[in-house]
Amino acid sequence: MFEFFEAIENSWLISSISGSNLLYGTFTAMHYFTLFILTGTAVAFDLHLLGFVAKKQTTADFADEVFPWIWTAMGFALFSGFTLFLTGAGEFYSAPSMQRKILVVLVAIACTVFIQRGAQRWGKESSLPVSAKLSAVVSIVLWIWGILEGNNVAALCGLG
Amino acid sequence: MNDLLLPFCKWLQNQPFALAVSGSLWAYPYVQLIHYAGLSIWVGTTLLVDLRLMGLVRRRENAAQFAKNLNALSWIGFTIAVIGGFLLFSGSAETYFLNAAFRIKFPLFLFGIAYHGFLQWKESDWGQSDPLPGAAKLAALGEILIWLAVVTAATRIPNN
Repeated sequence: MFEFFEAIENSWLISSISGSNLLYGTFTAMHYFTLFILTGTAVAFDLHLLGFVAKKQTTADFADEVFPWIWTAMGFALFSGFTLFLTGAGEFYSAPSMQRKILVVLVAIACTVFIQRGAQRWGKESSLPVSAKLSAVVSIVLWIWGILEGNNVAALCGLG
Repeated sequence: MNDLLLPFCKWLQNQPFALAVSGSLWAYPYVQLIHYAGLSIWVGTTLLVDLRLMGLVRRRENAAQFAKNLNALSWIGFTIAVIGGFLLFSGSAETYFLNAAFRIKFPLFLFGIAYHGFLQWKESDWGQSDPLPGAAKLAALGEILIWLAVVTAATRIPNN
């Protein structure tokens, strides 16, 4: 496995990115910027479910406004994150902090899918069920945990 | 200016709270977490409002109401980000002060705050009509570019 990731890391395309200040800097900035958008918008929706944000707006309508941008930001964050991973794949794939980060992010994404599906159903009810509030709390914890693990990964490549 | 600020930075980084951040292995990632969590909320909610002003968010309510729903959360995120950022800065104030990327980031950040204040003041006016005036779309695009520049400059701090 190590040889496989080393080969990808040393391929022409990936070494061009890691060897270029401009390209590597662009992917890093894209990753941070879109992660902030993703986490911020996801947490904003979670706080709506908990009754703290957009109180006058219905859950279904707020979901229609927010979720397209959660998924757009996630697309850019995953693309830039995967590219940055490949620039240090040999070291990253076996790093416990990277493995934890990937796991936490995957669970957070699954939680976001669950919340989006639920939002359409919950939005028709007069008051939000406990499961909506509980999933919002879990989602907030997961995204904060994801940031913490991301900090540890950034420290591996001298960015933390 | 340097003659005034550099001694202040040296004084700041020797304060007990600053020494606690810089001298502890476990405190730094958590202070970083506070900064990034606050930034996520600030950037995520600010950009959502900007995208709404640009007509890129589904119209379930007018832009002024949409902005009003998120403004309080934006400023809470901002406060958290500033507290975390101040603690991070104070831990290595002299190094940050002399860092070329930080010297770009900080004035851009101050400009971004002033620009956001202006935009928030205009939102209630522009946001009543749909479609929104061209000036609103241009101003919102301007804010997205400012925060993208702030984040890009911040990601360059470790490399300078």
